[in-house]
Amino acid sequence: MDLENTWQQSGAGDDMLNKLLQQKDFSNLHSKLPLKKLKRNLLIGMFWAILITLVYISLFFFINLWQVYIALCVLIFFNAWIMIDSWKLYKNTNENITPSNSLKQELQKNYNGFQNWWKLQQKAGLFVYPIAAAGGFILGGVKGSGKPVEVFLYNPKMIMILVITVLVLVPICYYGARWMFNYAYGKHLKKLKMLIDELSLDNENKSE
Amino acid sequence: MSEKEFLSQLKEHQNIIYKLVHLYANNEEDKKDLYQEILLQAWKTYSSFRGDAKFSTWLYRLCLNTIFTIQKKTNKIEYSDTTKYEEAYSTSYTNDETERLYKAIRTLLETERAIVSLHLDGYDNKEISRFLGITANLAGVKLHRAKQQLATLLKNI
Repeated sequence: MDLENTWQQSGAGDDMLNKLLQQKDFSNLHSKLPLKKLKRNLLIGMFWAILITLVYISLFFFINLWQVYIALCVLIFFNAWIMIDSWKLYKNTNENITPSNSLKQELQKNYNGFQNWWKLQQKAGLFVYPIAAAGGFILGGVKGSGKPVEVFLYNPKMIMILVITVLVLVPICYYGARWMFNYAYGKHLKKLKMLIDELSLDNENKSE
Repeated sequence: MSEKEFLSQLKEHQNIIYKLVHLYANNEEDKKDLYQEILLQAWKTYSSFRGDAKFSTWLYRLCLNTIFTIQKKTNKIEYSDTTKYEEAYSTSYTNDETERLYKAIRTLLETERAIVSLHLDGYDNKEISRFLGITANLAGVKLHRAKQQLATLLKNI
């Protein structure tokens, strides 16, 4: 078989492609690019961060506990920082395919986009989870017991429970977020990594 | 490049889109998704085409980058599993030789498929290495290995 000849004669097209090519404008075609999905998720995340921040702000009007105020201030500050970081990532993520990039560059662009987003989530989580857990515990304890915070926390048992709550909730939240990330993007990231590794094989061989 | 010129160039080089999509799509739905994505991306980025390379080269790069970015599953099909292949890929080819060739190439690793298609379309190892972002040496090694595999497969049927 003459491979080159058979290959070059094989591209006659099909009905599906011909039909699509009849259009004069392709901008209405549906895109399934993963980075587009990532950018949409960043926007959704920012929207929720704004909503949650507003809830935190509204709590100032209903609660009169300086310990919770501190937790809320830290959380609001942190939310703002994460929103700025998310916005920067959103602006810097080019969801379109870049034909001037080599295949490896394009795959790395996608892989790094997701990795950066995940790092951002981890950074946010590790800081927010303990403060949110402690703040929630104090607020719930004070409201539930009807005692002032100093009295409520005076009991060493409560301090122990607070520490245990934080120690239990932080890893649950951390690993829960990791599981959700892997569930949503794990397959895609694994595939990207596999392809990048396949294309990097030569460099690895040289360095061995 | 004007919109009219772009559409005419795209039609002229549609064989690139057709061939590459048929090497990677697992089924009709995949094929449709890939066609749509490639055309949409071409539409969005054709203004970046400055004519310092051939339109066919630009389109080839765009197709490969799009296909590899959008694929989620490894879609290697075992050559021996004809039933699975037929189920997954029901397109009728122009002739038996074309079908045998596509079937054989689709058994290769995804990056090797790209290398083989570029080679069969006349690109040399240096150009292939630029397409993929690998060294010319690795392109050569992979091509050699893929060609050996293809020869064995095509001999056995």
